[in-house]
Amino acid sequence: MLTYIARRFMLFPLVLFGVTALIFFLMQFLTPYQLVALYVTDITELQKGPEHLENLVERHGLNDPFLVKYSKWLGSLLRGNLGWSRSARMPVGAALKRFFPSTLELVLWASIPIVLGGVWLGTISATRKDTLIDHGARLWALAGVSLPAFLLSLFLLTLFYTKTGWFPPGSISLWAEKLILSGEFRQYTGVYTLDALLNGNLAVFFDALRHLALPCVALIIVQWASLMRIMRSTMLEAMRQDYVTTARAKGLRERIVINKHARRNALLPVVTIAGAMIARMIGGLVVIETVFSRKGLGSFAMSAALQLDFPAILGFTLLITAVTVSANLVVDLLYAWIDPRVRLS
Amino acid sequence: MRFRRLHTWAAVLTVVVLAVSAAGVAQSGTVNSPDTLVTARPGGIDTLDPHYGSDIGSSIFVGNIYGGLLRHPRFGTVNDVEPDLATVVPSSENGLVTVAPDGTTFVGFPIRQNVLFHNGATLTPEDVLYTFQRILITDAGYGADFRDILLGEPDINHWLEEAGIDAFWDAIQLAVQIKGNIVEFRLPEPNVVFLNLFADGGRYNAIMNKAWCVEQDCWPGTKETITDYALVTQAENPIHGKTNGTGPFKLVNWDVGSSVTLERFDDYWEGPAPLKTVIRRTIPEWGTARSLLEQGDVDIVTPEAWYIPQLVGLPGVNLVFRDESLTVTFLLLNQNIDPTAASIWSGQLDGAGIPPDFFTDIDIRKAMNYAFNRDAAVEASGLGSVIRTVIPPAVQYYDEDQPFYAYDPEKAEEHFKAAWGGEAWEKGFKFTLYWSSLVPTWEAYAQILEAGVEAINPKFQIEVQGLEWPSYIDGWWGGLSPFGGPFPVYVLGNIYTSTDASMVESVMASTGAFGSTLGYSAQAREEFDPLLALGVQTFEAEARREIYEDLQRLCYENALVIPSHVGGNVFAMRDWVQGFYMLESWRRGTDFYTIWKGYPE
Repeated sequence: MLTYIARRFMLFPLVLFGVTALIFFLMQFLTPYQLVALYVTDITELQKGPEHLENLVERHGLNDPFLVKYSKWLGSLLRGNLGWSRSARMPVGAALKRFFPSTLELVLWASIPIVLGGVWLGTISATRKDTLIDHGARLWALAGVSLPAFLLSLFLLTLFYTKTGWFPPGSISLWAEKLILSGEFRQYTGVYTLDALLNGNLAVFFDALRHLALPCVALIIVQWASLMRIMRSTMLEAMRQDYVTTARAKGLRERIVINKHARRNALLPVVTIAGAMIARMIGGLVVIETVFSRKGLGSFAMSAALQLDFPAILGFTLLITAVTVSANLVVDLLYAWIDPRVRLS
Repeated sequence: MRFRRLHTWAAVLTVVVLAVSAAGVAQSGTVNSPDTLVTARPGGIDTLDPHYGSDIGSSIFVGNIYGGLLRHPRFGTVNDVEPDLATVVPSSENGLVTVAPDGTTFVGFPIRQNVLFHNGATLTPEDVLYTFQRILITDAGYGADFRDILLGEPDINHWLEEAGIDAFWDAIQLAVQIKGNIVEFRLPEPNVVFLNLFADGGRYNAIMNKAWCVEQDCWPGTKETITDYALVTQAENPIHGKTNGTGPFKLVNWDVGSSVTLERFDDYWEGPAPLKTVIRRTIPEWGTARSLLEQGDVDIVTPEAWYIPQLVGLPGVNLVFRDESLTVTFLLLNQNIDPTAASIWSGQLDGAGIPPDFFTDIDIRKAMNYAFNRDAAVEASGLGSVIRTVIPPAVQYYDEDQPFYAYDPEKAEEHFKAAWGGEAWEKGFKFTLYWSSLVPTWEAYAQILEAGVEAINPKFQIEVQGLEWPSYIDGWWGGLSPFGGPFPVYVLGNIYTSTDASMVESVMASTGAFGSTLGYSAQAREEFDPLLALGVQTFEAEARREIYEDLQRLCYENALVIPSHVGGNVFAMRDWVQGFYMLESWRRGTDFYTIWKGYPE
């Protein structure tokens, strides 16, 4: 098992290296002016106009062979220099550090109910195939897949904030914000719920939770649907297997047959999907973050893309790559834990 | 057994939900957070360094943090000025404005005593001197205006590359001097608009604390370092996100793209403000902003006109309409487009693009003017009215009898046929018309021009595309935007900072914001600049009227720009917001000092 984990960890930097090479290769398709803008942060240089371009190309070695340019860029990257983000008005590294916690918090709080609820709903639906519960769950899944996140978010906001005042948008209330700015509340991670627990401040914890509720619900409804559908079909597949029939024939209780024999095997593809889904969520929360006024990675990436802010786009891509590779690593480890055959191979 | 467990979980969930939500239910009849004002706007702030401010979003906000020498009176009009950090408004009557026989003019500002900066330092004349020296060496904000009036040459490259640092430094030393407690400016000749430049109440010429600036690694105030500090990037600017002013509020936190928090400065020289905290949130989604307003979690929002019906009759919400009679919306035709910009497509007059000098042809400019339906623009904006000349009716010497380009597709067709020797009509053209998402109605104006032009000839194509404000404004300055730039056409609002007719300079002067970017500075230098110079040196009303009517005529004859309409604006605010006022120009911005929350007795 340890060898397996070590091997997976060794692959981690290699994958990241491959991605950086791919990104850098794609960057070569930019126009010279756009490429220069990636290297030059001094506005006065750029303002000198196109006739000054050749000097800049020369000075920054943009005519050098691909490998030379790549090693220079990688060196800069390894020194932590991701460039200046025009859209965020700060260094890209600082922007990622600023926006990542908000998105991470939302994804973490939403992912637990998404995975548990999706698996549970899929199992129930499969074990009660063609009953009212199954039809209801499938209808729910269809609605979740079909309903635009924007509409769902606005509906939730109107119902649970505008009409009732229960769950406000944003990340935190005014009083909590003031407390944080006063310096009496220490920000360890930027994840408010976690920081509140570390500060022992339950009032801030519940306040942050209150602000998380609606975006989490919106996210859960949308994501539950796809996970539930996959779980249902893999569960149905598993329940048709001989080992399930054998388990039943041995006289095991139905709950044990479902939970220990069928569901454990049905979980394998779901784990794969769930890992990728959570990684994808981190970069794809534009709509939910916008409607619920949460400044996170999704809206940062959107703004960077709209402004052709290449350093920010590259920094964001690298971060998402790292998250995806990490999620895959976790998935692989879970796989090995769930299925002993993976360890042997 | 299973059902009992389910019920237990349901009960726990209900308790948690109720506990979590209970705190948030607004109590009717009470004022939410009485000492805190929360405003919401869709766009963010570009920079907090006032001398580098280029956008309204930044400048209207920093005016609450900094102070200037003069300001427009609160609840007054932009035609009046009153002292701010100076003790009096200089005039010949009080002896602070003197004119030598050769025309050299001296304007002195006695500096207010016992004014504190937010860091506790006391304001001195040295701070004022440093401030204006920094403005003079800066290639941003009001730098060019002050160089023009005080040094006679606005272009910083002239000083840095042609005249040289020594001459530049000597000119600066001569232009601003300290005489006791007075900071004196020396103008080579009298200038009608000079005092008005100071009256923006701490926006573009905010008074800085020299020691603090130097401590932050800003320009140290030495000749040798001028070149290094003439234009620094935001990444390099040490006070891009820091402030230390003399205004009624001090900066607590700038969460870029999300919010800015200000706190009352208790030692403000006019006494502490009623509000303790001001928060400006960036909320791009209108539905969210409206919900926050309805719940009272936001006090003031600025909706687009088409959202007004959603707000009428909303309990606890007042609509405040403001006649923005000094803000003119223009569609600007660029005669010197960036040849590398993607917006000109093929870059040639071949039906698939336009050449960079496309708008140098006067027939194209006239055709565009005739093809633009101003009435439709006013309708789209929801507020405002059509204007006939380059200046709005509220400005002096507005000439209603001037001819203007009323929407006329037939005349537009005539001019299109005559343009570029008939080639434009035969081959057609294509370009991208960008608009900034900062002002959503700008999209409508872009589409109105697109519709008007494309209806005339199917070979004419205009692609309308929205850009975020930073990319849009970077494209204006040229070379900074990844989209290239300057672009072929801009939709922009121009703010006339007073009702003095000389404000037309911003559109027509060779060194004005428009002339220098839009490629007509050579023509302006020859035809408009002499008249503009005469205008600011002439004090006799009738003579001035003639000059400015001539300028309006020249603007029409040359079809320099497409003046669309003067704007209006609406603020939606909770009924507990008191003491809110806005002048007729955005220049003053929202003054948080006068605002308090509550209900009058």
